[in-house]
Amino acid sequence: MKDQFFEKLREILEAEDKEISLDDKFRDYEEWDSLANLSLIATIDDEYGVVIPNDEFKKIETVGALIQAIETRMASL
Amino acid sequence: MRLSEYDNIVIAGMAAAVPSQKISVETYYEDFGQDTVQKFSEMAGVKEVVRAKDQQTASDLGYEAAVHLLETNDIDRKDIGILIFVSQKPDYRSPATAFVLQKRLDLNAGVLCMDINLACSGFVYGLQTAHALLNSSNKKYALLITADTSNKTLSREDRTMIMLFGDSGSATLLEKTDVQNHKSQFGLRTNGQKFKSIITPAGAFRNMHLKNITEEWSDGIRRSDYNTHMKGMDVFGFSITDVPLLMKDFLAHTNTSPEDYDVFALHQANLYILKQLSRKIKIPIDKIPISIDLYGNNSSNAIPLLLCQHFAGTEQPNLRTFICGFGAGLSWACGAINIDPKKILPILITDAYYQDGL
Repeated sequence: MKDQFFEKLREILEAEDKEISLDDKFRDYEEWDSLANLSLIATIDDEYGVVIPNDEFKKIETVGALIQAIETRMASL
Repeated sequence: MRLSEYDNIVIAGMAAAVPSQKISVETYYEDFGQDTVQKFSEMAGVKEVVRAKDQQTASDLGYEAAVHLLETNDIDRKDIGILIFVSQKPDYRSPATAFVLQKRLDLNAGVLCMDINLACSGFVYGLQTAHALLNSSNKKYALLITADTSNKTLSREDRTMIMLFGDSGSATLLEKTDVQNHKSQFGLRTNGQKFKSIITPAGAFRNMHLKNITEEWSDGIRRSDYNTHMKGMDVFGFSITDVPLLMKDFLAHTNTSPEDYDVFALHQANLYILKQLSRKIKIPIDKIPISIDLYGNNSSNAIPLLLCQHFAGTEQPNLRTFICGFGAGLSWACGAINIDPKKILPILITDAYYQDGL
């Protein structure tokens, strides 16, 4: 899932060669903006069938924590 | 779920009015950057919006739609027993704008008049309320007017909202009949825990001390407490989770499926959300007409505006129509109604406003 998620994140950020790691704080990416935020929530819903409530999403800082949150939600489906 | 049903009330007419002023998203290239604007336009599906001039209020737009409707159908105004005005942009802090409309429409003293303060769910809530009041009265007609001029409280610098919202009004006439084959059903939900998700904090009586000063908020956008603020992520999440859940529950409780409906007249919040609802509820996309491209998000008028745009003057038979509105409150609602395209009028374009409105 990790590599596929990285690829989706690159598409959202419109940065196809971007180096991404699990420890990255995605809100610090220079390409990050409110539209990227919206696209990320939408992409997670499209690709994994889960929606992370905004109150929870706001507390998630890193790419790794985000993947973990998606996996936790998918497991409870 | 809470479900209301009626079988003796028919939609006898529907009209919508928009101002002549159109604002294209390209207008904002300089302010927000071409790239940002194009990305927004692609996702939200908005190419242009309609915007009222300063003097033109929501009630002016609703009034014009109502006159258009009553005169075209030659309705005897004495038979109207209920007037409901749904809006978040009343003429005055008091009295309710429904009284202004009663005067302007020359309705008699026997009419029940009231305002309902609702936004994007307002048409469905207003329709349900009008059905309930008409059903328990001895009058023939109820007139539901929805109108909003959302732009009047938006910061011109708020790129999340200023390119999205349009101003318009609508009028829908309900008629009580003796024939009991006009099934209308409504399912409504509310989450007041999220009342701050879409809010205009000042201008009423809670925050009277706040000064009208424009400054940068935590999201980096400059606005004042008198501007409407939307927590975009909260509302987006709600729209792609709670709304499809209600739609599914409504279909289950009414024992229907998407095949049973000719049209899904859904609130025009954002094109992406409409696509998500199509996917999640398995509604063929060609059953979901679109008006957000040319008019923007028109709050409580989105559904009647959409129906007037797409079905006025068409020769199609009666349309079993699924309606769904969702937004500020948070508040969301579904309904199943019959729409006769012959009763739907083409959209009226008007810049008229009430000269005697003080």
